[in-house]
Amino acid sequence: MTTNELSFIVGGAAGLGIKTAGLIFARLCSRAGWHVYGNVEYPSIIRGDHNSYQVMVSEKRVFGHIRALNILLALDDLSIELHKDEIRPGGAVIYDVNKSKADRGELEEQEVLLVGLPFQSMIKEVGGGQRLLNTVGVGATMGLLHFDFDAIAVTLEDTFARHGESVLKQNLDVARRAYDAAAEGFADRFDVTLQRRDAPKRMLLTGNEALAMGAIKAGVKFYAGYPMTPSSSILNYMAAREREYGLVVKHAEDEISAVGMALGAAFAGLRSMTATSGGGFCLMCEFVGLAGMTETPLVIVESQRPGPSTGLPTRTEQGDLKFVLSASQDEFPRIVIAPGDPEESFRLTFEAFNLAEKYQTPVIILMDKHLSESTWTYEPFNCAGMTIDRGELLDESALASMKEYRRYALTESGISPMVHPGTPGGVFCATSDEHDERGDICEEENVRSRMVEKRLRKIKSLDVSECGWRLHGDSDADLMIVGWGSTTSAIHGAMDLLAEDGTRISFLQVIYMNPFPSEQVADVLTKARRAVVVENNATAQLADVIRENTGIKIDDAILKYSGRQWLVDELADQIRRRL
Amino acid sequence: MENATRFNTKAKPTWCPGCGNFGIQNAIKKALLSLDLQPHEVAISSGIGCSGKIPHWINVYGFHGLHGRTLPVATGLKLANHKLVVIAEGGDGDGYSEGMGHFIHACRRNVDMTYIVHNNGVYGLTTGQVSPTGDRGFASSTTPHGAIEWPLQPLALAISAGANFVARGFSGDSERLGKLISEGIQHRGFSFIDVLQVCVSFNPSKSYKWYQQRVGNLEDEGHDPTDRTKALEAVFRDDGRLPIGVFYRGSEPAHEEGLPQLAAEPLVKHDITDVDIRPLMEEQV
Repeated sequence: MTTNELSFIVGGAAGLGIKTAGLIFARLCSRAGWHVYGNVEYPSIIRGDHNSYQVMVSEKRVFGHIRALNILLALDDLSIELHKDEIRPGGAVIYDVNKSKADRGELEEQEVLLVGLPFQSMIKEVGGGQRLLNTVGVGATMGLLHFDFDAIAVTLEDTFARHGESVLKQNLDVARRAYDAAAEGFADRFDVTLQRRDAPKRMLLTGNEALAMGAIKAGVKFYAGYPMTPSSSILNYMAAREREYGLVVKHAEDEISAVGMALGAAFAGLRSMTATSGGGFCLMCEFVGLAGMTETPLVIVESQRPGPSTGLPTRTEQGDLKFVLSASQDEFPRIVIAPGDPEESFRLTFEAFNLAEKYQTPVIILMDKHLSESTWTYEPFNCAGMTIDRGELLDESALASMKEYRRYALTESGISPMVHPGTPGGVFCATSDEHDERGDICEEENVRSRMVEKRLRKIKSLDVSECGWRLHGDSDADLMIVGWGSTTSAIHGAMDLLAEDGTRISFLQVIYMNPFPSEQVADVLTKARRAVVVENNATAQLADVIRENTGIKIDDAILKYSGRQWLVDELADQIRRRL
Repeated sequence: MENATRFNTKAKPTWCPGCGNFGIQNAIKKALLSLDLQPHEVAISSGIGCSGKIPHWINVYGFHGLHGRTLPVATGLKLANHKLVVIAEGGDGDGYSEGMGHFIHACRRNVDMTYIVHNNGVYGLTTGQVSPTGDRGFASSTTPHGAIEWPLQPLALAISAGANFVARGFSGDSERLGKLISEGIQHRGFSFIDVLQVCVSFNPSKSYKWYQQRVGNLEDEGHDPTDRTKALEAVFRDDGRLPIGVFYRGSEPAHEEGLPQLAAEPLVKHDITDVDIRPLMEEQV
């Protein structure tokens, strides 16, 4: 039978290429016209322990996993041990008969098809090593699913051609052997096949990839960073494309230097960015205030992971919201945006650069590991209407017609026209000290008060009444979920599942955390019959932020702080209990 | 422009009368004039402390940032617009304590800028605590029984970290210091100039006279600045003298030469109005 949905997981020790196997499978499905969602789970080690990559494939958009696997590709016995209870009856376990010593009695009782194949012998036959193990596994999986082998060959070429012809040939040969063995020996006993679907061309991409694309589209010309999961893939992405897109990417000596370089480049007139996780952002805080004080446009990405301190370096959490909203000393305007999926990561990052320059202040994009590193399928983004706005900027001729240039001129909007260093006639000195309109250090009471007001006034004109939030579903639904960031995905999935039972749920997604769409959120919440926040943290931080901005207290919260994102069915069960 | 006062500002410095910073300020202006630069062609980044205020009183683009953080800002500034002459200013507390990590990495990164450290062995703006270059035994408000730590040797650190222009100047001789700064600016790559500076308020025992009795010109001694080992020997010699001049000059290519992105024009001149990201999207299919 052909299926309309399939759940696959590959598991094995770190170092076996688990993520590569998962991504190859995900890409094969995406290229064959399926919607895909995939996520990687791994401990903070390089070799050993357990890594897994899980992929959900569907004819509809996919928003998360459910606890019912069709296929477990077990590259070691620990994977069988950890995931055997997740396999649905009629599902399959693919494993290496040369090596596995796992007790499979229980699986047989659960009517799980045991696809034991001689992986090690196949690898030997093509003259390769353990690096081929993940390809053997993918080949066997696709054979079991009667997937078109030619399509597999194309994707393997894309993945391995850069490693040289002999490596590619070994991968192709071993995949073919495993494919044939699974197709001939087992596929007739497995009732799911995966065929090509008619569908538009789609990208398979992570939140970080989409975000980086948004930055490049926005004309980012300088990027400095320091490796820290889950932000490192942005640094890697940018570095790999620096020459092609004419930007400079620096791996700095620490996060303080990374944000300092980014700020220096922004002061010089570039669109400039840095990214880190919570720990690195702790180090960057002083510069966030410096950008606020000197009115320098700066875009900072903070991709959250569980803390405090090192926490769970490779897992996910939404625990930094209130920290980011108040990071750095005293008061200054900041813009904080929380995308909910890759497309929003792309569009809001592009927008972040416009806002940073328009309001001359730091813009922080809040991501998390789940959004940064999981993959979703999207049709290529439509870039029509994405226009660059560099804010109020004076050039040499504009300066020539002025009597005196004052960098921090007190204006009605609070926004003072900028000049980039190098422009004749615009010399000034920016300072972290309080200063007068010219930028000279000044401690006079009156000047201080006017400058505080000027800075805070700037973002009052930023209207987030439309872009700051989204209501999915009807506001008079039985229950309104309130959430933000990466949980958006699982909430959509849970809404779809509940809709199958006839339960109507709505979802209020908050996107701008500062400035906050207070009036609109208050209005929607007042109309809601019941509301519950869903967050990946332990203290319902969004509920606090909503209360601070609207006075409305949401009493009910569904919270998860285990370092993992919600499974769709797990979240749907929790929501059902509220109905 | 003939105007010899073009680097002067209307605002007047708030340093103590007799402060060594005046000599450094004069030397920088002399260097900029000697190189025939215009105010808009220069940018000075600084940290926090008495030294950090210097960009307010030289008429060029200035960025007076955070304690210890002048070098990252200067690095970003220079790479963004490498046509600018970029000078980073630091103090010995600022640059050798809080900002030491950046210093070492700036030496090995070799971005074309001139780093001038105002080194007086003491924290001025926080009223006289010992700095990393303060003498052993130096009694201050944070070391009432005398400093126990050894003073660090910034020139040796710079040489061993890979800097290609390592020099020492003296704030009481702004003529010679101006020439050193001018040489530093002309050197392609990271130029480091440690400036012995008098703090009349908090380290008065090292007065102008004290320094004048000890400084001597390295060049007059026939020092070969291309020899790294000899440079280190000159730093560590223990005869009570304080040689000034260029200790080490290497010829490694500047950081910018490894960045073909900068070859055509500075990044700030790149057109960003319509970046085509279709190839990036195609990569993800």
